[in-house]
Amino acid sequence: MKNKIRMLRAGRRWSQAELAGRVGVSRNSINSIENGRYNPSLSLAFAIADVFESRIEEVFERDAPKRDA
Amino acid sequence: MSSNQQSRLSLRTLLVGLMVVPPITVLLASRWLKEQPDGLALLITGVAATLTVLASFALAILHDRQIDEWHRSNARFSSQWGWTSGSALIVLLLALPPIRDLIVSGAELWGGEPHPDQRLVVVTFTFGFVAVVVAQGVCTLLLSIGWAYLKSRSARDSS
Repeated sequence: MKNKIRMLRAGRRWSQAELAGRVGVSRNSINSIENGRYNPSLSLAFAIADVFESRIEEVFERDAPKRDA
Repeated sequence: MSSNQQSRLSLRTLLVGLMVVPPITVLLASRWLKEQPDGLALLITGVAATLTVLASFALAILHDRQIDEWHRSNARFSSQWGWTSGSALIVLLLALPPIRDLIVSGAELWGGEPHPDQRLVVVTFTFGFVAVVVAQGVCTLLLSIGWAYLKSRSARDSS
């Protein structure tokens, strides 16, 4: 799942630690999500979108569905 | 550090102490325990084991409440594959003669029996290991069934 967390965070001059504090998770969580190595739960995705005052689909973008060969 | 964090830290320290101190004490007092009546020795080791198990349960619950979903996911992955690879490792290690000798010398040291039968010690150790694996399998199955039941209840059932 792709996301715009890095861009949104940079726009607000927030560090990963600051974003983590605002969302209430660890910096590891933010780092992994930002780098696309961990897909957050729906509630965490909503919480991240909330702190950016954005809609969830403005922060996260799902991967293209796989097509059968 | 806030008073809430301090109280959590002291609770955690207390629980770690309760988890670690009783088995170490029993181990250090093993020679003395051997000289005591069976009932007393069983009572002391039983109390120590109960304290350790209860403290580890409490510590696990406390830890689980404090971690976020990333750490919980990490714990799920590492415990699932850690148990599996650890069990496989024990099976492999049991095939190595130096490890068998180590187990036998441990039984000799802590069991107080000079020159114990090697085959008997290794077989007993293996049975103990298999018992742990089987108990974990059964508990995992029961918890899985319980979890599936709780998560499958309809909204009306839970109200």
